[in-house]
Amino acid sequence: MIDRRLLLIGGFALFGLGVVELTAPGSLPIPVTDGILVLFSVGVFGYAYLVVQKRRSQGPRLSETPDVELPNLTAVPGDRLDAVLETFPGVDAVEPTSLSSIRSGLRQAAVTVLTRYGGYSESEARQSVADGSWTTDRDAGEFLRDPASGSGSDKPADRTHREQLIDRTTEAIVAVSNVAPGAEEHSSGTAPAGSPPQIPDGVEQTAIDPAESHQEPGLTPGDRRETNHWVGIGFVVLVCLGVGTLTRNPGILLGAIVGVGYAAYARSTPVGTVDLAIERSISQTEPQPGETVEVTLTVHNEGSRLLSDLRIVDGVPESLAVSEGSPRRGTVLRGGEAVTLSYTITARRGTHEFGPALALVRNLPGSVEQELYLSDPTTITCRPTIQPLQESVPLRNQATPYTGQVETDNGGTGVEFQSVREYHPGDSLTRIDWNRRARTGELTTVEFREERAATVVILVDCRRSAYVGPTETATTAVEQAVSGAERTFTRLLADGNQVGIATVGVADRWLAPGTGPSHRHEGTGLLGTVPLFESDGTIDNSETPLWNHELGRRLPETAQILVFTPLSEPRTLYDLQQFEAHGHSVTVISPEPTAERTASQRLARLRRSVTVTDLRQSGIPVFDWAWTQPLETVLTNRAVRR
Amino acid sequence: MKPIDRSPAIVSSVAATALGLVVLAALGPFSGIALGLCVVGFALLAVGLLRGIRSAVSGGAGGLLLGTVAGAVNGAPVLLTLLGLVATVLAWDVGQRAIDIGEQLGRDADTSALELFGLATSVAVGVFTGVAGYLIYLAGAGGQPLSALFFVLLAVLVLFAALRREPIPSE
Repeated sequence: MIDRRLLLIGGFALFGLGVVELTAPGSLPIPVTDGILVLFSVGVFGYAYLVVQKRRSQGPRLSETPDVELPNLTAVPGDRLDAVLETFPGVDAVEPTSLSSIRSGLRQAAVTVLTRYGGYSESEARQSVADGSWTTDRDAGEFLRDPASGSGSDKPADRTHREQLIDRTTEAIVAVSNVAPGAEEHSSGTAPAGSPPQIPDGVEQTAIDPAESHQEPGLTPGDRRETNHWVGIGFVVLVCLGVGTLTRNPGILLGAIVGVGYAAYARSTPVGTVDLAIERSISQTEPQPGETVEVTLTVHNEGSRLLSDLRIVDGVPESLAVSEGSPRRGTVLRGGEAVTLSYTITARRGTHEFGPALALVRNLPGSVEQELYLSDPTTITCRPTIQPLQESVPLRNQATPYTGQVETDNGGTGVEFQSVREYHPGDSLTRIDWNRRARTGELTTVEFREERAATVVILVDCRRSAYVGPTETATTAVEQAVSGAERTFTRLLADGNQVGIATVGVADRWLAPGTGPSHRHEGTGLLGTVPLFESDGTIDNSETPLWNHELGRRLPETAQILVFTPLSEPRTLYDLQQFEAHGHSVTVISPEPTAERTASQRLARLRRSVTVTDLRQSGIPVFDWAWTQPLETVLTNRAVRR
Repeated sequence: MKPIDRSPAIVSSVAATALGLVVLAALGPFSGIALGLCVVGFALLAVGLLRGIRSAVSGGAGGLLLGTVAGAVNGAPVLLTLLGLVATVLAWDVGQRAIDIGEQLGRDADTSALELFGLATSVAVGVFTGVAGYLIYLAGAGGQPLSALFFVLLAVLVLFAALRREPIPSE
């Protein structure tokens, strides 16, 4: 501090000498020669060089603002090839960075696919992969060739070539499943490649996050920093001084004053204490999905000073996208005044919390920046009204010896009228609609609902692996599963069944089978607590170890299970087979979250269809629920393989 | 889902480009070197503002500064020299501000009040210092001795050193 004061005093003293010299030339006994001036200029240029270097090393520092407008992105299955290979049946652990590990993973995957779809035996498949004859793509064949069996497989040198090879090989493996005779309809009912399903609402992203984002209303100061905005202004001063002295040009010399003026301005006004408050209002707190919600943010300057540079970014919920307007504003705010900004967001299912708004206040010259977090806790809850399923739920005939309790939902003999269908030879004469026969000549059979109550437990997969969707902006499979489960739950209850709810992976979320309006209320409430996107911090979603044992213990003996799962984890297969083996009939309704834009995405789709085939082969019906398809259409597809 | 447009704010970008053009028009005509430096500086500034490249804006301002000095050496009047220097510093300041605002708030946000106020204060400072410099020039127009000028210069330098040793406010 002291040397600064000395410099100031010295500066003013020199200035005084200059003025004296101006008014009475020659009165001071100090000679100023040309040589001194040249030396002076050289020194000044050296200094100017240092200033430039300083500017280069100290770039501007400013607070970064998050992309609050954009929702977080959904993971697409197959984003990473090694992750797909990891879950591929028959493939051991894959080391993502190691080419040889990925190669051996692909090799094992090729063997699996050849044995399943190509009609090879295991040893034939191994042999065929080892000698490269399994595919018509020579490069792919060469790539997977066993180094022991031949010369091939020299390491592809450059990276892009490597990646191309891996892609081609992946394609070749996927191709095996397509060309093989008798292949499963592995892409049935899914959207064709290149036209990802259009889902209106988006997903998520990081919002403003001071660690203490769970907030009380009020103001939390954040960092204060030098912006380095004016670092480098010294260059102007020094260049003017140096050149001006050398050339004796008064205009250039006086230009130094301009530079000094700005340098002084740069440090003139500090950012004092700032007192801001916000108020956030939303047009509706409980919108339906897809509805727009208008958000109005009012920022009050509660201090008396003018804020000459105020930049505001509202804390839009991570899971919601801004559809119109901007949640940002830059303005000047006088003491006691307020500014508002408004924008609209599109609601989607779930509970969405606003984060604190970020305010950046700069001083007048813009050399210091202060961060402030302003909270006004606001929550949007979007719970769509549940529309019970229009179709009956395809329950299975529980294979128990207790005939009286066995349920079936198929049309047939019964009491309640269900539908009229075409006459099939062999239908009982008592069920022919004779009135219609008399009226129109058509021969039709009346179907009755077989009214026997079932005990069903709906299982929703909300493990981490289920938070995937076909595009980055799509909803997640968990959201699909929850909406399907809600509709199924209400329908099953309306049909007079005992229905319970559980989640795959998390044992605590459990509702024992029951019936009645209060049970219905409890069930939909429980489904409402399932977090729909990964950023949803309201619920701990950690997987319970041995959740399947826990659930097995709780299941009533006659209960059958209806599972909603995207089948992202092959392990699900064994869990479900276990339930089936313990006498609980299992039905799988599987939202299809895979895409086919890249080779590894296609491999992920193939991986899933292998799991579907395995499930069907073990006698578990699987309904493949394509992303945009209504659940009714999926469930009426009676051609489900058993 | 379109990404956020974080390119430099419009009002400030236009203002900074216009200021660059002022320098080019005022000092360019005095010599070939001045014109060349000003054109290069202006082009860098414009590209930096279109693309949001800070180093291009700073480099462009540097080019304009050297162009101004070259123009002055080749006979530009004092008033034009001071105008050119003020406009150069302003172009640098406002151009950087455009990039800052673009990065933090983006094009979609309403930032005009912020930009205009910042522009106005910076212009006011420039006009004030420029006029002060010109008044000093007029006062000493009777052919001031070199020694006087030397003391004023030293004073300016020392004062500048005092000013740039600024205590960093931190909390």
